Amino acid sequence: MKTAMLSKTGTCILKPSNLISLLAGLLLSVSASAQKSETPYSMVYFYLTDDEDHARQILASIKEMGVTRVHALVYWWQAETLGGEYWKKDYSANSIGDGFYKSLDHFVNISREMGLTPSFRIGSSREWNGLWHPADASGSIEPYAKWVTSLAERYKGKIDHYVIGDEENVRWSSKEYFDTMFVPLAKAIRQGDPQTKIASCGVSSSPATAWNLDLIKLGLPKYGDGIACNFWSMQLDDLHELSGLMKQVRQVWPEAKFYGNGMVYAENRGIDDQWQAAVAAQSMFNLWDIGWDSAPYYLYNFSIAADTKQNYGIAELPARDKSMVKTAAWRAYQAIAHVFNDRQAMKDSTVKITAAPAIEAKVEDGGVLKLSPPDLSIRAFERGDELIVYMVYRNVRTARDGRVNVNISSDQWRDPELIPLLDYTARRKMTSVVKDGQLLLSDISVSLQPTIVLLKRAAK
Amino acid sequence: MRITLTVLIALSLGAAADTRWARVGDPQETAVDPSGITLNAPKDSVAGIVSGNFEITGDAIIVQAKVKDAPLRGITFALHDSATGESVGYWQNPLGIIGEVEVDAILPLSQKAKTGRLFAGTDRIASNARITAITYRPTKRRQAMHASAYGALVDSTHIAGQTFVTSGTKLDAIVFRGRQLTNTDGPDMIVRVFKWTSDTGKTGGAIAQRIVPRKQLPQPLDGFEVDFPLTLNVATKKGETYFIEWSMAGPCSADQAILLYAGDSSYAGGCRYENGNAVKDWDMYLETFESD
Repeated sequence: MKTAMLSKTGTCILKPSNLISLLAGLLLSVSASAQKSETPYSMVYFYLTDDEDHARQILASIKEMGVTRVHALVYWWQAETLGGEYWKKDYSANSIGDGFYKSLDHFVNISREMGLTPSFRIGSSREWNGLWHPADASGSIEPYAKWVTSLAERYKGKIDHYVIGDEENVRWSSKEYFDTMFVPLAKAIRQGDPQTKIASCGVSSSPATAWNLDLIKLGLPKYGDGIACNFWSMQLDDLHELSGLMKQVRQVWPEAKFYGNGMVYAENRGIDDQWQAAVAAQSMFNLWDIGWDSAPYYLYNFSIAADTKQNYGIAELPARDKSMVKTAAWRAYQAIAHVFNDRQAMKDSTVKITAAPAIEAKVEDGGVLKLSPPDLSIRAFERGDELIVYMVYRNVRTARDGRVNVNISSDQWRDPELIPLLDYTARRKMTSVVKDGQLLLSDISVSLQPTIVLLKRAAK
Repeated sequence: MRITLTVLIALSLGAAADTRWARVGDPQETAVDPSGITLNAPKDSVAGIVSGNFEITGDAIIVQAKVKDAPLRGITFALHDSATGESVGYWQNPLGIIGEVEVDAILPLSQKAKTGRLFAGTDRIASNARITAITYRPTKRRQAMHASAYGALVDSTHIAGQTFVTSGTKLDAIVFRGRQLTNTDGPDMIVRVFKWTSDTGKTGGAIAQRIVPRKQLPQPLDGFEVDFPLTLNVATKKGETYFIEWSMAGPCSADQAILLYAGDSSYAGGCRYENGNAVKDWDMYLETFESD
């Protein structure tokens, strides 16, 4: 029963043939919508603005990419100056105090209106040499905790989760962080919004497994709902450490959620950077695949990072008089987020799928070499009457490409179509042959950029 | 079994090995001489030579060769299953090569194969590279410590290390992951192997040593690090502990450092060291390849 199809713009168009299919379609739609909130596709949002139209424009462009979550950094010192003038050098008045709250209101309300799930990272004393606020020399966390409670109360019921600080593992042991920052602020958040979820800081660089496990031993589950990590893309192709971290955490805390403050950090070298596109696509797919809960991509707009002097952006932000500029990576993220968007509905397929080299070279002794890098990763998922095949060379450090013949050992699947990574709404029909109960696809291009093939269940 | 390409005629190096090499692809694209081959292949062409059949006794192949003037990915070594003709192991040079360098490559097998043929040439990359002195031999993948973060610096004030327990009687090769930091003018890196005991740490002198030419590691502008294979060919005692040490061959400032991958502990049989001190809960990124 076909109840929906994708239009060229990616909009879901219901084509009910009768009332039953309409109802089924609506149920499917509601179900998919509920499951969408479980996808990891998030974006770090540094674009707070008191201009409602501009906020709407930016958030709409993020929504278009298939992102389901947005993660903003919230500072006490930006909300309340406590009479200090520290902000005057770098900030305009409308981004401080009431202007800040107005911007935050736009972020929270518009993102929710658009079906995006907002989350907050709350600031740390790292930003002010150990002070929680530049105008509060006491160094006491109590005034900060009081403000955090007011923040949670203001947005009660609207924020999916709070991440308490960022990369505190660089300066503190688990216990120092737990006692000094995490517990006081977790309590403060709970007081203001008992239902929201709370995570420890996004740990730096490595999964920092031991640091996180120590936090759990100290009592993290009593005050929070999960942990957070910041991953470089280079940590996301070899999932050994990430999978190990998740396994070890779940062994001692089965309900733990997995969040982050910034992920991927794939450098942009131009609008058409195909390597960045490959990294963005693989990273987000892998985070979806391993069941990470929220993975805020770093970064949306073009800008030069203060520390590494690199541009991790995937787009140039839209402005009032200028439409946005989308990179290949933006489009690649979009394809992954739209195709692999309902984790609960997509089941690992048991269909055996193999790939063999398609390029043949003659040997002067009469033989033939069939050549293609053999380390191709193949994943397949079934969703209703669809089979989605994902093929990629995973080690993004090593440029790889090849051409393969794909053998699907089942007679259930037909009508293969390529979903182009950089234009996910397009569908390119692929030639195939059914032979001995198997479906054969010939001469398929594979590389560091995922090749995604969509097949339909054959009519009985 | 060790097979060397010195002349392109049949050699009698062992009953199991057929040491004849044969041209692959358009003969015009591979010039063969007594020392090796010179490619003259355009884009999208597969050209080179392929060995005769040989027995594969492990799950990886070590290839060593001298390579001159190859563009990025302009050299391919591929292991082909003799039964199917399909490639089951594959390596391309991750950086361009200027002048002549000695190249080590390790080709893990993606699936089992009883006998194979080694291809040396180019796979669809335009290349005029010269390849000589090709040797290859089977090996076995052993320890795999996979870390995913920049972890260990190597410069004048930092010496990196890792202990591990051998599973065979010869340490054929290792693979580590790294790149140059910021300044590329520094000295080359030295990799040494020592016997290790729990009482004294490094015991005796180095039992193996190799220089890693700095220019074979990526520069910052290359954008990412490489998995660097290094053959060692050193006899070991099965089940005993050894120490791999990465240090500099000369004075090296902090900005000239080599940056190696390390990360959360993934190996129970050893641990990472820095300047001789154990780094708790960490391992270097390290794979070992050994023979029984």
